[in-house]
Amino acid sequence: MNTIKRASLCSNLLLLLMFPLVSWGHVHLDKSIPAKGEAVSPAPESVQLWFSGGVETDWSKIEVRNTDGARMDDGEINRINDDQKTLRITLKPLPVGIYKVKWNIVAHDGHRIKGNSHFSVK
Amino acid sequence: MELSLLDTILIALDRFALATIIGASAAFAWLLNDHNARTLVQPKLRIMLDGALITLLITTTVVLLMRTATMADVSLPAAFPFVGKVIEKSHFGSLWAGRASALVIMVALWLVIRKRPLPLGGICLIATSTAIAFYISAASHAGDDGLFTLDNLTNSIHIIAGCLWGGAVIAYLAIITSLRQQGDAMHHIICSSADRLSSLATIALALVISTGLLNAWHRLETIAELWQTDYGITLIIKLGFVAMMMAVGASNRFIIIPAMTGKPAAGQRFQRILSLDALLFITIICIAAALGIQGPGGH
Repeated sequence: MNTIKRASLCSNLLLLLMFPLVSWGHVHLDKSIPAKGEAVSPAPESVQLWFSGGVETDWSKIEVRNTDGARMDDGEINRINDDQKTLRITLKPLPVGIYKVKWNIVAHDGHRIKGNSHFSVK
Repeated sequence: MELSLLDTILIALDRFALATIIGASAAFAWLLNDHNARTLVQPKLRIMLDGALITLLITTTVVLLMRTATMADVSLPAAFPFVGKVIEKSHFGSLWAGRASALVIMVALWLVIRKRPLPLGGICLIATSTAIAFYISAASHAGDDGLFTLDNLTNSIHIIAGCLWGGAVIAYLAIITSLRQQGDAMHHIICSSADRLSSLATIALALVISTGLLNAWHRLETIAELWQTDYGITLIIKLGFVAMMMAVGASNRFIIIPAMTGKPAAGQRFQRILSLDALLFITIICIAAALGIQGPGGH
């Protein structure tokens, strides 16, 4: 094998080292408002979630509950500025206290992602 | 069986079937330039394509059922009533409908050309496979910003090139097995088609690497995830197999194929090496399918 062929083979193998980075994983939560563990004032009017990929509104669920387990959201999920990677749920007026957020989301690839968070109103 | 394991097996089967279709089509379109050799090999390639198309029909249907079960949050047998709603009212469903349409066109095309597959027929099958790869890609992160984006285009080419690389090896195994049964008379065809296979694999590999780098450019977050998460470790294992397949391909191109000219006995050695290559490709498909289900552990 001549030098050019060897160099070509080595450079191909080196390029291949970057190959693993191309695989696509599942969608995950990028950001939420209120953020996990955040203490906010005044009380938020909605919980907003930003994901790493597109998510479905029709097949996803978000629940916001107080410490007694009562639902504090209106049950209707919509998007923020029509962005396919976002979900928002409007809240009832929240008194001071701790609130748990649970989401059970369907991503555009048809996979389900579950997660939870909490925030408090001070 | 756990749903995620079933999902992994299903995706691996699905990609293997697509690769086989692309490889067998490439054999009709490019690998075999001799009419007699094409006639000799046709029965085997025909069986391969029949099997791969049936597999793809099954996996396409089961993928829809499994995603429906996940989306509706019900068990697999309870998913049937939700299928219509998934197709009608979800991003995944509309992409699935696109993929299913491309598959129907592919099956119809195959039924038309099945008795006398010509190079043009092979090209048409590759074109419909490209449409299927496009919808597969669009259902992943690559399609997050829309169908006709650079991300989705790059990833679609990546899938097609990967399938062409491995599929051509599998199809060539069928070719060499059939031609070697004819004795030494077909050795020159074995050599010329081996040259063509090597050129095809080089082009496919160049596409896999260039589109892979473009994907990395778009998606790179932290390189530390490679060794800090189960996902990253699985990815490194996959890389090892890909590197092995590349090394086998390089040794074929630079050592084995040039040494085959005028030596019919060398054909058997080449066939054994290609079997190993095909086995590596199947392993890579299985690992890639597992990665697709697993997702990055760091998130």
